[in-house]
Amino acid sequence: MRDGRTRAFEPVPILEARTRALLSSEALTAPTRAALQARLDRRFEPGKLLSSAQRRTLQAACLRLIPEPELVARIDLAGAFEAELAEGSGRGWRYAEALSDVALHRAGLDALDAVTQAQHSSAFADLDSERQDAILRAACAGEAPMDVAPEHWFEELLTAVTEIYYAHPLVQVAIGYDGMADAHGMQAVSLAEVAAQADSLGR
Amino acid sequence: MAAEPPPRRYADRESVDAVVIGAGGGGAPILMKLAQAGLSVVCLEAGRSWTPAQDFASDEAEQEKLFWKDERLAAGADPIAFGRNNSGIGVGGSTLHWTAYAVRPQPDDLRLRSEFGVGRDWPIPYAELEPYLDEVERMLGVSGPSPYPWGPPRQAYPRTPLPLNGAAEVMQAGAATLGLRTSPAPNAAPSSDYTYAGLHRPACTSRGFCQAGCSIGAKGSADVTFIPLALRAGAEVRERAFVTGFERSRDGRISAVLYTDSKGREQRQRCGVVFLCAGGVESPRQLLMAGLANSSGQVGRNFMAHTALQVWAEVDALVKPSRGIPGGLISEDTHRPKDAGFAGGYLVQSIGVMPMTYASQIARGVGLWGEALTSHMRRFNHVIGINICGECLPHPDNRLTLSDELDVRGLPKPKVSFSNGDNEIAMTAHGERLMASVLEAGGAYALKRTPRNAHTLGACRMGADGDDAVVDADCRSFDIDNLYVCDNSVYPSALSVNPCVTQMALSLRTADRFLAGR
Ligand SMILES: Cc1cc2nc3c(=O)[nH]c(=O)nc-3n(C[C@H](O)[C@H](O)[C@H](O)COP(=O)(O)OP(=O)(O)OC[C@H]3O[C@@H](n4cnc5c(N)ncnc54)[C@H](O)[C@@H]3O)c2cc1C
Ligand code: SF4
Repeated sequence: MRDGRTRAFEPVPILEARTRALLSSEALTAPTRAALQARLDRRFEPGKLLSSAQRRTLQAACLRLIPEPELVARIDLAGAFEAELAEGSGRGWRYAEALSDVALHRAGLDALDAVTQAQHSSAFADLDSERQDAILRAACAGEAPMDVAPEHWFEELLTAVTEIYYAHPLVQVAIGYDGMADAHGMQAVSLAEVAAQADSLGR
Repeated sequence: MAAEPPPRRYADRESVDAVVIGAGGGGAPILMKLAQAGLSVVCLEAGRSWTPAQDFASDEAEQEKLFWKDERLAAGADPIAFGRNNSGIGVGGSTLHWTAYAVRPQPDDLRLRSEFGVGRDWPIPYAELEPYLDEVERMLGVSGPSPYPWGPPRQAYPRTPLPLNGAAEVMQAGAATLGLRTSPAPNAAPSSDYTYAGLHRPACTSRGFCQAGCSIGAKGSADVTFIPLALRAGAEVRERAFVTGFERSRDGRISAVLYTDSKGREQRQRCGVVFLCAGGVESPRQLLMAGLANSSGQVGRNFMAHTALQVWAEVDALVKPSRGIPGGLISEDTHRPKDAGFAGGYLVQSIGVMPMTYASQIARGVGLWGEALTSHMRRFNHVIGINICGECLPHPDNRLTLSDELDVRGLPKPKVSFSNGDNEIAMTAHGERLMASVLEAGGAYALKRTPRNAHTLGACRMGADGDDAVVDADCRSFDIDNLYVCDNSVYPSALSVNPCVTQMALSLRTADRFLAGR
């Protein structure tokens, strides 16, 4: 980070109030508002695809893949992922040699837990975050001891939860994205104009 | 707007002069031309039609509805990501979410084999495509610089260039330091209100959502250009009609197209001629499923996808990277680089990006996760990118086949095996060095590379020789004289530019050649 200007964290309730105000404002067109509002209000019930052990492992893994715990909890990232898996709202492709999505994720989560049990006599979810990260690093690299997980599992899990997370209006507002503010017509484009309009959303 | 006549509907049992399969970049221009010539013509399109102002949100996840989601299988050393990256569905096809980058090929692009001894030449000289390229640029309302710095002289672009965004400005500054010429790029979105052939489109408002569909109808996609003109001339577009096969008469010619309608019923449309324009994956898949038009053995082979490495970086300035037409700036100085150890060349473009797509690429392509990912995404507003679009040589083993797995419709999934060859690898390395120097010279840092191949080309290639190609220079099957294929699958070489305006020009020419021969 050259200039250290990473955006600071903000308590989730304040962020949520800010986001709701933006979504109900005239800065958004109706279709954009409808899509984001639905996502903001959506809640998830535990699905039937994963066992409770797999779900626990998934929740723990989500917190290490996206270590922003308050937002991850508010969004119910694991619940959203499981719902997407159940809906089969797929990507339109998969690696030819990979398992189908449901089988892939079940096997991957089982492998994560089995490896943790073998190495640390603990469930993955009960491990400290440093050790969790070490196992996930091995999964990312496809190396021992996580080479027992099915090929491409880590990549697919990471990509899926990353997409769910950064499509969420709370997260988008948190990172300073304002592309949803689409009702004002012509937008500032050049560096000079964007700097001059830095705080006026969607202009 | 003048009242439109009610859309034409042909009765189910009626035989029509022509069926066009697919309402995208390849099919829509043909549909328009045939209807304007007075033919009875029905377009069967798997997807639905949209009303952008009501149906399109400025939201990536919502707009996933524009992408082809039937599962495709990706194999080989460099598996192609389909879905969001490489295909569309709906009346307008992939042009609904194309980035509007409207670059022409240069004449030597069509003569790759003559120039380098590899790949294939196009069986059509540039001069024959040129008037159609002119027509396409007028139809789309392309905004671009006049004169354009590369290639032969051309007509002035209908509109002046669109404003440059942060990525374009940084690339411009970096390239200037290195002596690489750049220019605002031609983009199919009018920089001021535009009326052509009685169709009115508003100026682009620079929201940068082109890849998620243009909700204001500024972008030159087929649904706001060729399709309304086709409807006006009496064509019927039958939406949610998924083609599953063909019926043939005793002489081997096609007598009807079989499809599943919007209610899931099996239907049959009798016709005199078929234009298969289902795109780079579905057209070869249809021919393989039907066992048609493959005496050459070339159907499914020579699948090509442009080398399209992206390099991302950060700058101190506030960018808001989704702002502006995504491909704002271009350089074609790399069209035939002097120090190239490869055949062909590439173009360099600045790129804008939306947050979900960017995060996804950084996760999958760079492998960032955890704190590395989240802290980087908190810098999203400072991200810029550039990429290349470069030639890809045909290789018979880069191939689309039918898998044993069935998809949700009960049809065999297409499996595409793709590996970059030495030429693509050398070109990508050249582009990577250049892009890194440009970004660094422009003051950007923390470079990240996302490897990629883009576009789905070549699996029903066109050529002069029926042993080496699937269709002839008029895009007509060598085997079945009332079957034409005209979409990205017929490209004999990839060209060192993005494919869409060439496709539309080729489609206009194909329709004219067909009409002239009637
Ligand atoms: C994200 C993205 C960005 C792009 N950006 C650019 C760009 O900036 N510049 C550029 O030059 N090119 C770009 N392209 C490429 C451009 O979109 C294509 O060159 C062009 O659309 C190709 O036309 P086509 O007819 O081959 O396929 P498509 O436009 O995809 O049309 C095929 C149509 O056939 C339909 N279909 C398929 N199977 C069936 C069936 N069985 N029954 C009925 N209908 C069927 C599909 O639903 C679809 O509508 C981009 C592509 C993508 C994916
Ligand atoms: S940048 Fe212009 S053309 Fe692209 S979606 Fe926005 S308004 Fe439409």
